[in-house]
Amino acid sequence: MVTEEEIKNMTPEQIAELQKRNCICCLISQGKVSSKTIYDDDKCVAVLEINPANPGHVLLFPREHYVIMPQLPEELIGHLFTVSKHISQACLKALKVEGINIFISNGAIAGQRVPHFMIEIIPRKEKDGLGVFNIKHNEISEIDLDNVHRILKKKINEIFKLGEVTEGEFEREEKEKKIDEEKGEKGEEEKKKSLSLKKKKKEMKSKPEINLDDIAKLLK
Amino acid sequence: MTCQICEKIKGKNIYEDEKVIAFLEEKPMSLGHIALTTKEHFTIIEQVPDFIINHLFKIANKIGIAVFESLGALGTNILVNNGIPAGQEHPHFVINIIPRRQNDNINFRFKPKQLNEEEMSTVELTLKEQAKNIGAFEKEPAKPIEMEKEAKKISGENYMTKVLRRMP
Repeated sequence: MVTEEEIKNMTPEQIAELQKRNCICCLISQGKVSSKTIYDDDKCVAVLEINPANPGHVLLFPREHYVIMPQLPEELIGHLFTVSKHISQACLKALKVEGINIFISNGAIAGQRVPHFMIEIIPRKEKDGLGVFNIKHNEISEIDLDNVHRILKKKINEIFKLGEVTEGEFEREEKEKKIDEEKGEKGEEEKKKSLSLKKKKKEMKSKPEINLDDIAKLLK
Repeated sequence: MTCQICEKIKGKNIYEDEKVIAFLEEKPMSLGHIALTTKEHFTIIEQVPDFIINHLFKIANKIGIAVFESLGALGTNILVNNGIPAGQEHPHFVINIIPRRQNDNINFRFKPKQLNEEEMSTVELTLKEQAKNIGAFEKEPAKPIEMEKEAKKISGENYMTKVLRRMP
């Protein structure tokens, strides 16, 4: 066993390594701990939970060690959830249940029990005493809702790199206008120069384009 | 019957693309509770094609990241309630993204059931049998080629072809 003293002296990489070595999910996926495996492929494993909320409670987790969902690569997320859909389908068919909860907890505060990302698939029947998964609705003020909407939308646009005229951009436009005005006061000459440049550019453009007929004549 | 979620889609959203849409729950479980759903009407997750699921949860993850980074959440719960016994409220498939904070009075802890060895084995066997078929995932069908654009490509001559035509 590792003492606390030793953990203190470890680098973050070493701690991660230690976590991996002691992670029950990693041990299961390596076959070092026996489990009731329902499905497995090269990327993920699905096993039966030993202390199930309901019979058929399945834990689906990636073979690679990740603690929370934001750490997972996109491709893996897509694959994991596609598999989870199929497992949920299998549960509905095989166990003759009427519903399924697909549940993920990220972080100890959210109720995460094992430091390895997992998707819980819980078969549900009428009156099975699992009302905890029902969504409870609370009243909140319009102002709070608007605030959250504004903050979240800004962040989401940032993450998805969506274009939107933000306050920052607007300010920059204003600044540019001001600079132009200042220039106008200071350097009349500069303006003239730029004007003459523009004229030249126009002349360049207005030069007659190469006539296709001419090329044709040459060919003849 | 009109679907409430389909109606809501027209309202205030926080993310939208051609397939999916996310909006803030007006009566949230916690501040910043988001409902992410498909634009097309599906009742339960089993009806949603694989390639949409694939896309949907990638978006769910990114929104989760946004929740972590902007709303001061210390954790998130992602919950899909599928079917009325599972607590589904609307006949439209929804992914709930619930930000979690200290002392937020939310509790998803369930009481585990004790199953004996025999019951566990039967569940294992029946599920395993059914899960054998998992493997072939649907891919997004290729989009039909836009005929107009293709037609333009063909008719739009460059000068070389014009030259050739002029030749006697």
